[in-house]
Amino acid sequence: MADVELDTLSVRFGDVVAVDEVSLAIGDGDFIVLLGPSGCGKTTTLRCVAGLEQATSGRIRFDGDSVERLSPREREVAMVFQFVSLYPNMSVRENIAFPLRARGERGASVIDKVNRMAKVFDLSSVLDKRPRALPPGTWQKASLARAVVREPKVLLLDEPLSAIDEQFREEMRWELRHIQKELGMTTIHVTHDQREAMSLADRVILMRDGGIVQEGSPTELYDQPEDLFAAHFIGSPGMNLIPATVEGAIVKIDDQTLVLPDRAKDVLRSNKVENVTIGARPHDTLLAAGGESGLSVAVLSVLSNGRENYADFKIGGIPCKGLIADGYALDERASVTFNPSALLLFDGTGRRIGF
Amino acid sequence: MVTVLEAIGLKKRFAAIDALDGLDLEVREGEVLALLGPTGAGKTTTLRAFAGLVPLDDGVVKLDGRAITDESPRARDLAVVFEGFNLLPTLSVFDNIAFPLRSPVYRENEDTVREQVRRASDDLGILHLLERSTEQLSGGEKQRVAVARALVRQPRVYLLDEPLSALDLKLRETLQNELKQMHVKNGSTVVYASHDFPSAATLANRIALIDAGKIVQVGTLPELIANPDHVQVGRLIGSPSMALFTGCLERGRFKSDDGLWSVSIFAAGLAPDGEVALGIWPEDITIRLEACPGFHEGTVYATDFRGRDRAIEVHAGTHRFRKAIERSLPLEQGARVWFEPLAARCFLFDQRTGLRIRASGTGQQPRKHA
Repeated sequence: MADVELDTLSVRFGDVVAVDEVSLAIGDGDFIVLLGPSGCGKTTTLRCVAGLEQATSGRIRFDGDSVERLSPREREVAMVFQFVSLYPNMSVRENIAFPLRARGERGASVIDKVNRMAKVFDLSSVLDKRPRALPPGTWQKASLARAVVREPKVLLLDEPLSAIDEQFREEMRWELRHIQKELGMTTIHVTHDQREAMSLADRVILMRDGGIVQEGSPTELYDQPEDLFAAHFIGSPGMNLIPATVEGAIVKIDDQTLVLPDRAKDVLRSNKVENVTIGARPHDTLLAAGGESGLSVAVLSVLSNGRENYADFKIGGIPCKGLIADGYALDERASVTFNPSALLLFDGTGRRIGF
Repeated sequence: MVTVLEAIGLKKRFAAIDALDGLDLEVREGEVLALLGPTGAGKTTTLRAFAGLVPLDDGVVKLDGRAITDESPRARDLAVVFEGFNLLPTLSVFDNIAFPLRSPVYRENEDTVREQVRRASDDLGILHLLERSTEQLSGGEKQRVAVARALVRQPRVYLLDEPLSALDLKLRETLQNELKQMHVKNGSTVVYASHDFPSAATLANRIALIDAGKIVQVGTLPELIANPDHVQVGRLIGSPSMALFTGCLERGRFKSDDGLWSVSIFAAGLAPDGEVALGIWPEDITIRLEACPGFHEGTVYATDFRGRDRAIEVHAGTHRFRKAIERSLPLEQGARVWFEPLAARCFLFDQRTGLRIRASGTGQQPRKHA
């Protein structure tokens, strides 16, 4: 196991800047997820750590030692890709033992390590089966076991779950999380799926256009997105993001005035902001039938998820979702309020305004 | 409620497999009915049977009360969108969407074609793409075009077969919203097949659960939660889904088959002793951080941050269950927890058939989950 440090790492392909001065410190045993849309630089960053891509500038260190001159093999990393292969003519046991035998290990230590993997990955009952006989989730676990059996310094996962059927993906998320913590292995995982990132990561690195937009715990990204991109990208159903105008400290949406906490008013007044975007998650957006306080809106539809009722409505032309009390009848006037402790404001450039 | 589309006793055998095994289903006017089930349950075959794309071994399909089982697909006033896009690569987006209207069945005049194409494209936010070639489109744009091509006609029923499953989550959410708004606006009738519970819960007025070629149960989500008829309802519904424990019933007491714990089941009433599966919605399992009389010990196997809350997987003996908890609850992997299923909220299922075992006379009160 190792800690990993990226120091102003940049990768250029001709005129294209794929990774733009990315700096990151990853603690020993941490589970880090690089998250972002395609083309954001997350996979290139991962390939640099693996040694499969050369950085144009910047440094990569494992436990403080620079690794740029080391080949992928010498770096002692394990990388698992989207499409993982197992040797079809070997049993699961032989597959997992293979990396150990390839480096000359023999005898009891191989048996011990394979058995430990079988226990951690819950593969004991299939050790003597051929891969083709395995369901997809088990196949994936066996290939992960083969990747980590030689105890690499860093485990690198490049969208390992995206090729799996959606029904098994959730199961694999639980397993991956359990196994990573069980082994305490420094892990860097790349995905474009925010649900996967939030579920797995100790720390999420949200990337866009080669740079880091925000880095933090899943809770921080969810509660305090730094900008509109992070606010939009994280969470499902997505955050309600409603453009509004500011006159002094009065925020208006569709000519209706939104009541803001006093601290927010002070910040708006002193910063002379003219346009803001209001951000509130659907579960912090509360609708009530009739209601004199709040913004008046027309509800388009109401649906129960079995526990609560969610309403679809539009405000300022933007489709939004919010919680609505039982017994609401469509066509009634409804008013919207936002949980003041969870309300976010973003300025004209998209940055969150702290208050 | 008027029944628009109806399946009665549909049977279809492919090789040695019963894809449809006596399937009955009623689709009501103006509703979105989700057909929810795992891969291989018969969802696609059901939609294909409605559309007339698969010859049936037995059974009747009715549209507006009239049997259409032997009518050709073209003669049925239904529009189908299957998974994948199936766009015609040599035609522009406009011509792709216009295609059904120009077919020999409709032969609409070009003014009507233009108007209808614009209406459907406007609904799906793709007006700006009409002149493009389909090869220039992203996956999400292609999927919208495929949906627009189905929506350009206004048939009695739309049949959508996992139309969004190939898309990433954000795009899926956007399109779900658009489909829903369109449904609200036009009052159309939709059958939406999916294996994804959140999509079904977001879109559907009613959910039909399908398994092994049969409908297991149909109802609104609150109805299904209050009164599951079959263990499959528990497996397919909820986030996380129902906790299921195997064991046996002895004089009104459920004993888990690993011998570690037991619970007295009021609802068991006069249910006979024997092997059963106990099902309970995770919301009805109480969790404690310290040992407590009547509570059973387990270990947190892993945790899942979901944004608004967290879910934990608890292992206890040979059993496991998942439950959403408050974000702030300090429970990490490896922590010990104590749990108690609320006796009055337990359901019993037959281990062999999966059917609900109902106590004679006692019956649980349907209720809303808090």
